[in-house]
Amino acid sequence: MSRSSQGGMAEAGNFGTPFSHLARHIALLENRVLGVSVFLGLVALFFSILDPRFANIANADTIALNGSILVIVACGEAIVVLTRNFDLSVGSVVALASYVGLDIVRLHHSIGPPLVIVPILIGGLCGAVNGLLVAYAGVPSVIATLGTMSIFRGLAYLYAAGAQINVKDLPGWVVGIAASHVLGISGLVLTAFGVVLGIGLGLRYLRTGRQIYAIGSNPDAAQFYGLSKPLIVFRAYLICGLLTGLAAFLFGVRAGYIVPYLAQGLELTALAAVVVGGVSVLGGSGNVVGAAVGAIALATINNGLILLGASDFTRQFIEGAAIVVAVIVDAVLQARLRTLLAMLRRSRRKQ
Amino acid sequence: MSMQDGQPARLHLEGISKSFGGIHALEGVGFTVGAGAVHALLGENGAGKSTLVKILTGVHAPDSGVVLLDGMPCHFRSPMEARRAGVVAVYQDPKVFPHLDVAENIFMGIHPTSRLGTVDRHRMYRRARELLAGLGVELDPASLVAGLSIGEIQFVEFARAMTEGMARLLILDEPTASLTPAETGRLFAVVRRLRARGCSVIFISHRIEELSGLVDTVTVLRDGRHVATLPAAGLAEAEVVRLMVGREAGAPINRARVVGKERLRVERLGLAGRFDDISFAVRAGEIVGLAGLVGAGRSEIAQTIFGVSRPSAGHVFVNGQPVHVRRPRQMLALGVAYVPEDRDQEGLITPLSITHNLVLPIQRRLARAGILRPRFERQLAQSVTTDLQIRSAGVDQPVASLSGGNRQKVVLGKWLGTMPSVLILDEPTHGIDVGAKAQVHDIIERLAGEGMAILMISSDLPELLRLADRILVVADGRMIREFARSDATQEAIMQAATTPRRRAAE
Repeated sequence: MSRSSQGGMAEAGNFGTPFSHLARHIALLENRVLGVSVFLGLVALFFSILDPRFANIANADTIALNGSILVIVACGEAIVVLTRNFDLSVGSVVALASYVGLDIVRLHHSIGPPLVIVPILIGGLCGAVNGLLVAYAGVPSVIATLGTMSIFRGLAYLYAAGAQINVKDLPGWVVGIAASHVLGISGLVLTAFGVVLGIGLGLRYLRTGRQIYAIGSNPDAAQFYGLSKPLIVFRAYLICGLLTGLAAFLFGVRAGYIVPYLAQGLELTALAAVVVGGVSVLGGSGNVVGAAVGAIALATINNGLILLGASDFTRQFIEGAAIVVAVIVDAVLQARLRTLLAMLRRSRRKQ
Repeated sequence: MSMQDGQPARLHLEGISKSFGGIHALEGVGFTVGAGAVHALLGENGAGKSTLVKILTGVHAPDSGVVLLDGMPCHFRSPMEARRAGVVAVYQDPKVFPHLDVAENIFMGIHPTSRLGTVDRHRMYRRARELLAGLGVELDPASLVAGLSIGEIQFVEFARAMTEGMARLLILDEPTASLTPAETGRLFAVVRRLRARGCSVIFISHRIEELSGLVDTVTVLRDGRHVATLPAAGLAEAEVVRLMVGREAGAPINRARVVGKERLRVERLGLAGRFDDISFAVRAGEIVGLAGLVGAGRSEIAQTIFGVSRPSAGHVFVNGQPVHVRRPRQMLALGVAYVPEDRDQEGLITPLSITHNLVLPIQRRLARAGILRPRFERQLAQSVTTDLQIRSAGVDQPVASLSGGNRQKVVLGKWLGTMPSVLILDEPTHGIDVGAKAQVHDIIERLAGEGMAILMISSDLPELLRLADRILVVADGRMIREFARSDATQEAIMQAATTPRRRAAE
């Protein structure tokens, strides 16, 4: 037996060649960003043909601005989904953080631009609450964040007490930040770009980032690696909350009037962006670039439908359908991937 | 033996005892493993091997006894603590992150970092390549773990064990159970390399024959007690078996069963990527064994017949009628039942009482005008528990508090009530102690005697030889051979189970 093993070891070197066909398929299935980008291209083409007003610079700008805020929220949601959890409260967090946050900005406007941190911290606080419930109290994430979705929204209503904030009453720098341009590119777009870049790099180069993938890939194995599952899941919710707080600031400023019913249904749009962007709802696979492209794709669809005069209900319908279809596509692709991986394992054993 | 040239032994155990709920898993176990020695730990299921591993790696604390590592007493409180001290266990079912690549699995939790505190990916891949090369394993650090074979995943775990310098004690828990001979050969080469570098290895197995030439010392456990520690050289296989079993292996139960009509027929059944071209038939009153290595595709075949997965090719016939297999409920309605290996998760509702579990599938039949009859149900349960010798404090006891053997008897008792025409058993005595095993065998025998067609998957060859009328051998998703009971021997079955791969490896 030992003699034959020596032969086996010597041959084991050329793994690459006989499996390259399978490996190529697997790589293609793994790389969802490409798929979503193609989808985005098709969507844009579709609307360009249907409506001449779609394909021009001004409209692209509108899509980019609306899409940017969604991109930021989707990045946060993606991190949570990577750990095999959900955050259904992001829409409510946007309402709470933008109302309370911008109200504080209004009251203490003398402090100036550093106050941007206030809505971000409120978002972070909401994220921490979600994290405590899911990671430490062990409440299933869908239930926990469905609860906080109502709680945060309710708090926003209680705080507002029937009032609303007009952005015109806010100090000039607030609107200035949202409308700023650097080298002709909107500050909003740059912020979103920075978030995608920062989170993308963080997920790849920070230990917490790698551990987020590990927890999503196999939560039960984590303890054997000395990873603290609660701590990692908590961090994921915290980051999601902070990003949502940032989005809340931008959302509020762009809205014109800040009201407690702001960003209703955003949680569904963000989740749709994440799922369309190829982040598996089963955890452990996908990345924020995909989620960002998914967010832009949804913003594009939304914009196109508005141009075509579709009703709110139609848009809601399409968004819901996008989630369902994306999850089904994901399931089919995952099944295909599993089969291919099983074939790969079998052929490797025969070596 | 505990001192070698004035050096303390790598591992010295004395008087280790551990009991769970009054049952002694280990009683006064003690032996010594030398530095740079390969030490085989042998014993039947339930002999206490796994408990001992868990004590060594800090999963359990012993009730009493001393563990000395290089002469120093140690009490690990977690596997991570044991790992830091250089004591690492690699399990048969490795704990890995399938979505991540090899390097990342090696370094998860202990990523090399740059001065900024970020993950130094470049160094991670370089170190992974070095570690794998040091083990003599050709594996690309960038390949996805989901695509690796079980043997390769074990090497990933080995490499992980070496990240903080050489491990002092590596414990391999039945590492060869699911390996091909070629993979086993590669594993042995790696173990020899580790031994040469001074690492001690405890090799847990129940296949003695494969260990010759690798192992220096053999320790045998039986029923939680230390039986013997002997030098491996010149140790006869029969002697080891005698020490492990402590009695003669059970003779085949040979009663004349009436074999009747064909109940289940499978023709050229296949499931993409898992198995192909499986054909066989099982008749009423017949027990057909399905043998093969773990991972050969036996459970997948059974589950496909039962409708858990939809076959990608072939046909299934029940009582002569073709069936388009779609889902388990349909198969149950046709009288095909499947008892999974994981009986707690899939075969029982453990928080409920014995009575509830026993009558669940026949509750409707027992009811009168749609109204349940609890007293009648309890009486029935009472008679079944007495009949099957299910040891309990009463039929109202929750199934969760029963021992493994008694839980399996409850599962089988359930099918005694419904009498399906085909019963598929997946590892029916896995993890059951010796006494209860014989009783489970009697029950299986009785079910067949009452005309059930039984398909039994088992990795326990003596069990198959004892019960089955015919034994089918599956290897790597293909049907390799069929044995009549009279021609079957453990050696011949093992040979068949590994033949095609052996050929492929050469």
